[in-house]
Amino acid sequence: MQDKKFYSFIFISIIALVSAGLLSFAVMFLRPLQERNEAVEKKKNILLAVGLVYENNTPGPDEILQMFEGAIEPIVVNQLGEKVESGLNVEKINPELEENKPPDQQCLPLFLQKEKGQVVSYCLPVFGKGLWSTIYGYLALEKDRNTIKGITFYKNGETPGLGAEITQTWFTGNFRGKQIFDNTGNLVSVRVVKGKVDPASPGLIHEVDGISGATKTCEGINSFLLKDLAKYQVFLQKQRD
Amino acid sequence: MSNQKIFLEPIIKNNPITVQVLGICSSLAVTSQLKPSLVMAVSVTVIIALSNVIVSLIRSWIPKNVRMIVEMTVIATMVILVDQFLRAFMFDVSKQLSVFVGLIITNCIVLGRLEGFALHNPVAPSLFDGLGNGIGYGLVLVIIGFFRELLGSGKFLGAQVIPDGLYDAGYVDNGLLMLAPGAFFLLGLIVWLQRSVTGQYEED
Repeated sequence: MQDKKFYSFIFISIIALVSAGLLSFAVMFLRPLQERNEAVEKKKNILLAVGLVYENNTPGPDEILQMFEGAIEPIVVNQLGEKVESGLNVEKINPELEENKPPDQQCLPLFLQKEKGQVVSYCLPVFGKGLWSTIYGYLALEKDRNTIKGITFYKNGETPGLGAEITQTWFTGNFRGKQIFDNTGNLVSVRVVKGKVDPASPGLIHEVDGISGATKTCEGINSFLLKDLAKYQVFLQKQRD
Repeated sequence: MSNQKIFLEPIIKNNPITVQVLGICSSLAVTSQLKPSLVMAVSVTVIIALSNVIVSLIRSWIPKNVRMIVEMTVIATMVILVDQFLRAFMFDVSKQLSVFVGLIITNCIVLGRLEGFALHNPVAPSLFDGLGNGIGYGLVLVIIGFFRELLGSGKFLGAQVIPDGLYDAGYVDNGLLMLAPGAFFLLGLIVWLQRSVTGQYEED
């Protein structure tokens, strides 16, 4: 009996070791490819948000990297709206980890789209909880720092066909032209409503058509857009005054 | 039983979804569009086949009292491998399937085949059993995915196939089919159709 238990123990240990070894090897081997995919995905989404490339018609990975190099200047700002000259690699900044720091020490990445040396749009990372998962995306503003130029969501674990529809252009397209500041200059962000936006609504310029069956996901988007825009608020308002 | 029969049996006659009523959860969850249904079908087929082969290879050494743990370890390893491969080589699809790849671990069909077949059969029949069950499962997924995408959003593999003219004339996509209950109705229709053809009845 004792022998049998010992045999089971040895057998399970061998199975566990072999599995662990196999998986470690696979992960080690595939990690560089996956990291490249993720980096290209982020840059592609910044380009999508500012409208330099279009969904369903995106160029290959090399071209994406090249376009990004040519058109986008990544910078770092803080919550006081000042540019931080940290010499940090902006792409290495993880906005999620920055959130755990005290507000005055947070480094906020910002991607400037430039044309002939002039900034034509501002793109910032947005992220937060949806229904099941954390949603990651980029929000681009026109040079007035108020009107939304585009938005993309590049990573989420929402229900396929429902919450995950937030990545579709028919949804993200609804954000275009909406404004994040009201007439008196207060940050109101934009709000995804239930169903269609009522054309008679006084807040029309801040409201976006929702997705039926994805109310919780959309509520999540509403709260994290406001949260992230608030971090950049001072910087965004500086230019407007 | 010949390998051919082992392979063909689970595709229609003993289909894991429509006859054994296993794997319902994922067949409702990932089938709102055809492409994720296809990738899910292929992933599950690969995972069942590989797990079946591995368990069959080591079946005479597996201690009876810990066999479930061994089976789950094998399945989990295969699922994580497939997930990692998708992320490296089919990034777009892996994004679309998101959590459901990981959830293949909990797909009862996989554990069911290991317990019910691979544990007592040689490698070759186990391979065919795995492939057959995977394809039987995938077939149902693809049928449901096809109709849900077509009727729910008017598309085939992401391309619009219902002409704009029809929408202008008042045609509306069926939103119910985008939701899980819509898939459940479709599944019911498939089971009905299959049983009225094969004449199979559940015993009392």
